[in-house]
Amino acid sequence: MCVAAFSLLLLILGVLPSAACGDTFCLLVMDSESLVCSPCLDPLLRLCRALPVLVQEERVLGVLVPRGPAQGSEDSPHIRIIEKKLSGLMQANDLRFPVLVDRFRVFGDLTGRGSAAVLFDRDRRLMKKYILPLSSRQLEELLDALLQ
Amino acid sequence: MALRRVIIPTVLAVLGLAILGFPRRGPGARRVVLEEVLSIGSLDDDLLYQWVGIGVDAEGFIYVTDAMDYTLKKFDGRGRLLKKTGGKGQGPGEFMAPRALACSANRLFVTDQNIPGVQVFDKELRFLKRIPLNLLVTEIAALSDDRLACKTFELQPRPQILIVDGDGRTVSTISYGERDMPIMTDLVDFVPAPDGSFYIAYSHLDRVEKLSGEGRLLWTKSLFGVKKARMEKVSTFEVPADIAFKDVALDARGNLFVLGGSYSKNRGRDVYVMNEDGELLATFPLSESSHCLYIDGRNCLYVRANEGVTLKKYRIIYEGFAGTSRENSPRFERL
Repeated sequence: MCVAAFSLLLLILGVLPSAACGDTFCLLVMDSESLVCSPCLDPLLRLCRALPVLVQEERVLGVLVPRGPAQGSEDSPHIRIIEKKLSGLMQANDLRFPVLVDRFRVFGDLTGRGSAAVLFDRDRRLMKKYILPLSSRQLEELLDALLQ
Repeated sequence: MALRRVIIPTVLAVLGLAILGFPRRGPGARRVVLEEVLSIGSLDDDLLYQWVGIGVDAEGFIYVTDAMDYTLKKFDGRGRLLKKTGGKGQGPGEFMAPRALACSANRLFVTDQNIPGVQVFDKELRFLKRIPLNLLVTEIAALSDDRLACKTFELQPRPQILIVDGDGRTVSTISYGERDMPIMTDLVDFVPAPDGSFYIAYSHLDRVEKLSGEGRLLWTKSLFGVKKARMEKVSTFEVPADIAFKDVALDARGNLFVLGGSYSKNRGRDVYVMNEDGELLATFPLSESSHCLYIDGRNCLYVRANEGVTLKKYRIIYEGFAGTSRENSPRFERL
């Protein structure tokens, strides 16, 4: 699990330039079950709509945590199905941030059965974790941090 | 003496069989076999992301709603995507969460989980109008271009299916179930029969029923012997914990196909075939779990695979059914 977490961290730094450069950044941790449940997805989409395109592209990284059969398997059909659904959702909602699939569920405990936004500071230390849905005050706080 | 030892038991056995009746042909003697004829969507293309509702017209064009990219799509009989429309929104022709789809001779009717009413399209997927119902519609069936049967999400003393015209006016209602049923236990999937009657399968109760067009209960059947819905607490509400039946469809021979849920041996895969009197004729499993089943006018069965990324079409083959050997010829034409 430690190796998996370390690999994921390296991947995050590689995928997200802001994380590597030392800017604040946010991980959007999404439970795969919430993708197929319209009411569960709404808070996440509301948050995404509030994020400017530039912030989405440079300061946000989605992490999809699979739930269900064959988690951890690189090539399981279930993981591929989730990835395909996610690609449809991203296109349809014009979401611009990159997404990694957390095959080993390193972030599984972070969200429980929903989605969370995890804010990191310039030193890549965890600043705050927000469980979705966000209140307007929480959203403002998150935007402020990411727009710094 | 020895002869008597043989004759008497034989006579008794024959008499016993005559009184009890010779064993009838049970469900095991009949078989439904599926032969795959088409598969639309795979993990490597972008045809379907999570299809939900389906309708097939008399020409064989296939229409589906896709919840993941908020669209209505049209495929030809060979599975080629011809058109798509929609997009996320609440404007004309847009969807927030497209769900059920019904197909009449010239119209497509689409419901949305988050928007009340029904949107109407022509066969070229052009938006025509919205049928103004004030309620969310959970299930629909097209009775004609201008008449729909709808189950709405509402709290009524006694649950009902609404028959509405193209302007949303209620033409008639078909009541079912009992008064004051526990929350959500009145949810049903239904399919109209050509003679005007309705078959309904309860989503959370072990009950399949046939109602006359006037709402008179013609028969009710339990397939699993479950007498009461198991309830669980969600927030402050008690809601049903199990899904008894997931969908119903009627084949061109007049047989009812019911897709089983949690009570089935193969959850979401077992299909129960019943005749118009509610007699169980056969049971067969789908190769994968599906949320729905649909049968077109040519007697082909459509179900979900790959969790909604794939749509499978099968030819239905009946073995051992009365008056048929391996065939799937329709007895009556319908859409």
